[in-house]
Amino acid sequence: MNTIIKIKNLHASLSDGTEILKGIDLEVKAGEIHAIMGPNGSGKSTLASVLAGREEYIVTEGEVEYLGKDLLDMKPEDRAREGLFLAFQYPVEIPGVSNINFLKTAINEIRAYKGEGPIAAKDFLAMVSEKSKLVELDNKLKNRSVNEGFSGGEKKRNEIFQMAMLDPTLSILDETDSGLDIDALRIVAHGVNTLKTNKNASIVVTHYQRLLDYIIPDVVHVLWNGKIIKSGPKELALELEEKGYDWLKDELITD
Amino acid sequence: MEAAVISQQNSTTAFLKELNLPENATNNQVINDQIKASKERLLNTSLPNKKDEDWKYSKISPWLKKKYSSFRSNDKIDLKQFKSTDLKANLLVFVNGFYRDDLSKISHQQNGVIIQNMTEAIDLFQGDMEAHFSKGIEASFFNDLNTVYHGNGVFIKVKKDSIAETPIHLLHIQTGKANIAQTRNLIILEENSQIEILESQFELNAVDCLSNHVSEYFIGKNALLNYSLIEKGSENALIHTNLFVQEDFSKINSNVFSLENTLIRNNHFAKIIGKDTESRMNGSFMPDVNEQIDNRTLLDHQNVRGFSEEVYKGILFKKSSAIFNGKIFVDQKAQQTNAYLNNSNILMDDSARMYSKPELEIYADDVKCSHGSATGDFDTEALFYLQARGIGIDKARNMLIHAFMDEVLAKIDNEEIRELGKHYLEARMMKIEE
Repeated sequence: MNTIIKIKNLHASLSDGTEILKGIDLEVKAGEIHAIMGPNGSGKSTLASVLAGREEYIVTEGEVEYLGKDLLDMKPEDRAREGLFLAFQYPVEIPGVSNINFLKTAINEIRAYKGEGPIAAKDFLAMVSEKSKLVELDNKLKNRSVNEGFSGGEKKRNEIFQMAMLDPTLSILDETDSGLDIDALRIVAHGVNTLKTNKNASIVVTHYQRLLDYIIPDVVHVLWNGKIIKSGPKELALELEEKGYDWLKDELITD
Repeated sequence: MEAAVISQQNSTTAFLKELNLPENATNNQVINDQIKASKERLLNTSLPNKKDEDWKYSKISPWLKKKYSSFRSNDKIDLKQFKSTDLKANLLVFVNGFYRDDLSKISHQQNGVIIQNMTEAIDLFQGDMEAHFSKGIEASFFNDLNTVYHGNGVFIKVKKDSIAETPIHLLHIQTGKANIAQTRNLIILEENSQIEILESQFELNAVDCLSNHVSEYFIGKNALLNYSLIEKGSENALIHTNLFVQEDFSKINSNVFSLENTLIRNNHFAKIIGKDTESRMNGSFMPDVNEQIDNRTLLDHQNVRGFSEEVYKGILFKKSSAIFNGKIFVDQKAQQTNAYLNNSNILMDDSARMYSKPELEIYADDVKCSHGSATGDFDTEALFYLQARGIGIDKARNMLIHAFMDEVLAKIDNEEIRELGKHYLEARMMKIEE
């Protein structure tokens, strides 16, 4: 199986010097879904942000190889153009920019990066209609300003809709389940599962086990205090749900 | 204290000395009296300064220390370089404040629309001139200065029940060093008439110049004025004053694009004397390094059931400043006034300064008025969101600026003018990115 991303000894800090990630090692191969779990403040969202290229984090050590390239050397937009997709924990509202226009611009920017011409209007519309069905996104929302006035569930579905439109190689879902009711959770999970192929991969960052009832991971990692302290099969998630994180902390100390 | 007053008057005299105030310039006694009054006020007031609330944050003072002269330029000018001339319109060109017949083009004559040189209009349209010239305008230093120099400008009259089929474009071009350009325009819309006016201000190799344009608009019963203004300079100062006097059932839509110049000061007032009026005033401004754009507006509701809506939006780049002094005044008589005023601004850099003061002064009890102001930093979270979807940072920034300014553009009904405004806003952003 091909490696999609390989993270080696990744350290990252805030600009004030506070170290959040303290040496992460992770390898994700094509066709896999990895779940990253951990208590609040363990560094889960920071990992997602660093991979997507958010500027407020400074990588102090380590490397990230993405499809054979140095990911950390790329601008955020180039990461996206190379097929990395971050589903935001808090999708941003952008008044005045229509959802559709935004997506069309994104697709055309990605195509231009690959040396392709702009997408034909007809093809684009056909794609919109097909992909929005996947997450049951209301037609009205497509023409509205990006995320403006969307409910929490609509925002998350819009993230997965965008993911479907951009067809990424690596998707990072940052707490996509937070604030979702069971119906919305099911729709989001259905979207993610449908988009899974043997050529792409996903990293699902979550606090709770319940998302993993719907998205079955190949590997579960437990992040604690900036490090992955345990990795295991999907059953690990259930164990965590049952015993909480303290059990692992204790185990870590005994080790 | 006394010494200070004298020194202020001395500086006024010094400023005026270089300008050679003209003596009794017209054949009309009423007009001459107006000019005389302005001249007397001018000689007895101090120059605009920081002690005056209206000029508190203004960077006008270096412009009052320069020595100006007023000179005509007969240079050949290729107007195609000014995109606003793409508009199919009757074009009136003023260079350094002087009308240039050779550059102007009145291609569409129409019975109900009179376009006349201001100097000639004083003789030909005595009644209109006596009734309106300098009547409603605020007594201020720059207005009085303009009144005294009243000579150049245009008189436009749209007769009763006439709809001007072609827009009128007043194009000002400033050129040369340290010249002062002043035009004085009088525009009368009679009952049931309608016109679209575009005014634009550009410059060619101009430096240290001051423009001081004043227009008085009288919008008659049930008449409609669509007005737009494009202001684009670089190393000069522009004072631009509009007065819109509105009668019963009249409507005005004013859209102002203040793009760049070292100093721009707009005084745009609507004096609403009629009932059941509509007044919309919108503006956008984008100052860059060391530039200041200053908008002072007044919606003066003097009669019942007036509706007014004002939206001004600014994007301030590094080391720039902008001022917004917007006031809604509602007279005791002006019951059932419905007025809305909003100013929002984005600071692109910590070094940018915005002074925003929206104001309501209400003396009637049955009114619906609201105002708001918001100034914030550029939304870097939104920028990152767009980048994270593959959109390059420059394009992403552009999209967000557009989205912010779109509200103002969307208010322009005339598609050609809207596109023109959009063109200038975009060109402005491109220039800043370079």
